Amino acid sequence: MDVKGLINRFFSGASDSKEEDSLRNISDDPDSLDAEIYFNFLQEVNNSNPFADDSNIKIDINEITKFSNVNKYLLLRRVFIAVAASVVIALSVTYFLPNNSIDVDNYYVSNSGKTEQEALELAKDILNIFSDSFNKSTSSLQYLSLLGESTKPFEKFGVIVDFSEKLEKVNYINFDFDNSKKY
Amino acid sequence: MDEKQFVNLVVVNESKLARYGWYYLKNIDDVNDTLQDLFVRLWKMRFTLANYDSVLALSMTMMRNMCFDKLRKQKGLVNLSIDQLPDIIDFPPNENQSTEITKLYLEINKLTGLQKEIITLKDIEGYDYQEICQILDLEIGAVRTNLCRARQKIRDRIIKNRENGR
Repeated sequence: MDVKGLINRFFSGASDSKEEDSLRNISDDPDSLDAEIYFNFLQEVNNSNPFADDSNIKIDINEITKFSNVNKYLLLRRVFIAVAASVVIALSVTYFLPNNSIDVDNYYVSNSGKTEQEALELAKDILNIFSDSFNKSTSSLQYLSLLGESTKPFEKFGVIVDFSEKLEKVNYINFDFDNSKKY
Repeated sequence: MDEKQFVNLVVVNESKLARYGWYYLKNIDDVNDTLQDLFVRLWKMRFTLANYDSVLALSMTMMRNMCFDKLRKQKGLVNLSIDQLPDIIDFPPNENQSTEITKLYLEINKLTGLQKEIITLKDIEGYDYQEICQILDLEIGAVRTNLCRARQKIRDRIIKNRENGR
């Protein structure tokens, strides 16, 4: 603390503000004890503070920074939980929830008992028919109607082609239709 | 910010913060506990400290608020303002000092809590106006006015004492 500088500024008029200007000239009298009294007062206050030196300061920096390790642990735990939850949700979506993107081959194989090759041929025929007549803007109902008429040629395969009964089956045909080039 | 940077930027102010905390708490253990808690909070904020103009001013403000919280709990109060507790920032006279100093102590203790806070920060701790504004969250005009009034009272007391002594 620059007490002497403070005292000079405070009492001798070397102020840095308009308000302090009013305090000028208080110590013009060289015999005045004003400055000394105030100086002594500040010194006493200063000296009475037990933290005037650092010997009374008791802080543990390790105790402070250990919280970062706790935070890291918490962060890792949260990341792990988030990843685990994401995996569980992804598995649920993949294996337990209804899936409209069932591959047409597998659908026929599992529902008709036909071989994979037969199912593939059937799918190919269906897709060929609709590749000519199906318009992308066709509504689902129109598509159902169109599909219902077109299933008869394939009954010889003994396949239950009941697309008109369940909309989700149309959906998956839609899906595969869009990818029909692979056939 | 790693531990070394934190020490150089924040913990380096421990002496100033402890001294400031003493004016409120008047108990070494309480000051150390509060200082420890303060550094823990600042450590948790270490990645955002760069956003503040003055880490010291931020630390001082937090120290002041935490001291108030501690006093509020100790006294079982819900709210607490600086003027509700006359012993905050008090300067108790002691047996060894001169009569003049004792009178000055008593006179300064008649200042408002805010005036004593500003006197403490400006005249004892040596902070500039801008830092005091940040610490106490005041406009600079309010700081200057309170400081001027406080000094005026002190000056009047000194003059009065001198005149009485003649």
